[in-house]
Amino acid sequence: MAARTPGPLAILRLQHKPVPMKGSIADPASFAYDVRYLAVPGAWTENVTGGDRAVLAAYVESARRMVAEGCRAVTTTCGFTSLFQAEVSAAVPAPVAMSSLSLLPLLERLIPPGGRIAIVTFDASRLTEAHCQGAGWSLTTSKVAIAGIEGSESWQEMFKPEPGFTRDMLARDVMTALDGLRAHHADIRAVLLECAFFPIVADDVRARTGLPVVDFLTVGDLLMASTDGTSADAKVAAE
Amino acid sequence: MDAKSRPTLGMLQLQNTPIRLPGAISNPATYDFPVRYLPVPGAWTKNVVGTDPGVVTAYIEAARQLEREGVAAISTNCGFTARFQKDVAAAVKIPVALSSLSLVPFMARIIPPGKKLAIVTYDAKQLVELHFNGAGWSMKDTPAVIAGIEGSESWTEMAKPDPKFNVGMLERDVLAATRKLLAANPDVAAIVLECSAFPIVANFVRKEVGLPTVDFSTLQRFLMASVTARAGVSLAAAE
Repeated sequence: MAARTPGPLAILRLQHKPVPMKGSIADPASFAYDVRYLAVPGAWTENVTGGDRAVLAAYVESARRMVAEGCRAVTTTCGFTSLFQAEVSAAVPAPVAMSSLSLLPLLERLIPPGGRIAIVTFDASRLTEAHCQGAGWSLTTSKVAIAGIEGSESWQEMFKPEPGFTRDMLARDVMTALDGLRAHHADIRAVLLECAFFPIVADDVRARTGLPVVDFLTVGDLLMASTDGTSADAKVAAE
Repeated sequence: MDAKSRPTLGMLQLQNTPIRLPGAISNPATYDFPVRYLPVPGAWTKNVVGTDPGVVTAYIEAARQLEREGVAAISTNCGFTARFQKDVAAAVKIPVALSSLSLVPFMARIIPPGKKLAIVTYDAKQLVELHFNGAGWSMKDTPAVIAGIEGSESWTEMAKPDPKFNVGMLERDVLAATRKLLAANPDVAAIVLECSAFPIVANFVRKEVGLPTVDFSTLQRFLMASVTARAGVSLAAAE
């Protein structure tokens, strides 16, 4: 095994039953490092994506507990928790990225100037400027187009205590949202997937669009890369 | 996965003999994706570091050449090329990330509000707002402090056509600059290493300083993760 800084990635999850499909954030096999999950008391899709700030204290406490127990970075399973980025980050001595939305400033730099980033989210009607600001950017200065899967079958399932969507269902619903955006915007040059379920279909999005795609796994990987070694060190240590 | 079918990183290089120590971005063994290197005509440490605009055309032409040859993304081996980011990104259809300075907005977001970022560079005297703007941010609204290894033995070597230095020398010089900066700024919470030689010593810095630290290889792994199916590449350390 590689010699590495001890400590897994803390994933503060919703109360819903995890969906450990291949490529899911709920599947430890999706990561090249250890992860630890903690269900945040009172955190459900309905209230967290609804902007309910009552659950902030539970996120702060959960982050504190996970870092106290040795986790070296913190993320979540719901991008709408970018609302809590500043408060959770202030509460722990470890890097925190609540949402893949935090990747927007980096992603928009990689594409041609004037290009647009498509954001596919769980629910575009619930995603506001406050979520973007929490993630470190603004709708007023970044060139994005946002579509959600609201109303779709996957969306309905994700509200349930035990989400019952299938991989194909999710792929269909995410592609429908993205295709709609691409039909209206010829200048889309990259895709950012907000929802923590969407890494399951990220490779499909890449293959279908040929565009750069980042998601919730990317943000976890980037967080952990900042606290861990490079591949060179790991390879040397592994030999 | 077949290496030949995997997305390749195109790396625009200085004419100086590349540093290929373990962990170096110019050492193909550092990455779990293929890299295609191309020295840029007229690009040397001495004229790329700083603000000489003369060599931008050569970078654009070299990026176009690598794109024609089929690479999936473009980067460089000098962070001062951040000032060419917009011009090169505008010239090709594939994503472009020329400098680890582009990681600054993300890193500024994952640390507690009010804390600072430290940037450790090849030459702090020559790193200016022009470079930051190219990388997508401004010193005016990002709390960053900067130190360089200018005047050190490593700095002197890197300016030569055929740099001769070793890991110990670079560890010493980078750590000295970092420690001095942190002593003057105890509120630093994370580090961005600008220079493309610094990934060689990034783990050393992480272990010595204990702060989240990203470098040129972090950026290049992120870049490739955005264009690669998950089976093919991970941002995290390879096992």
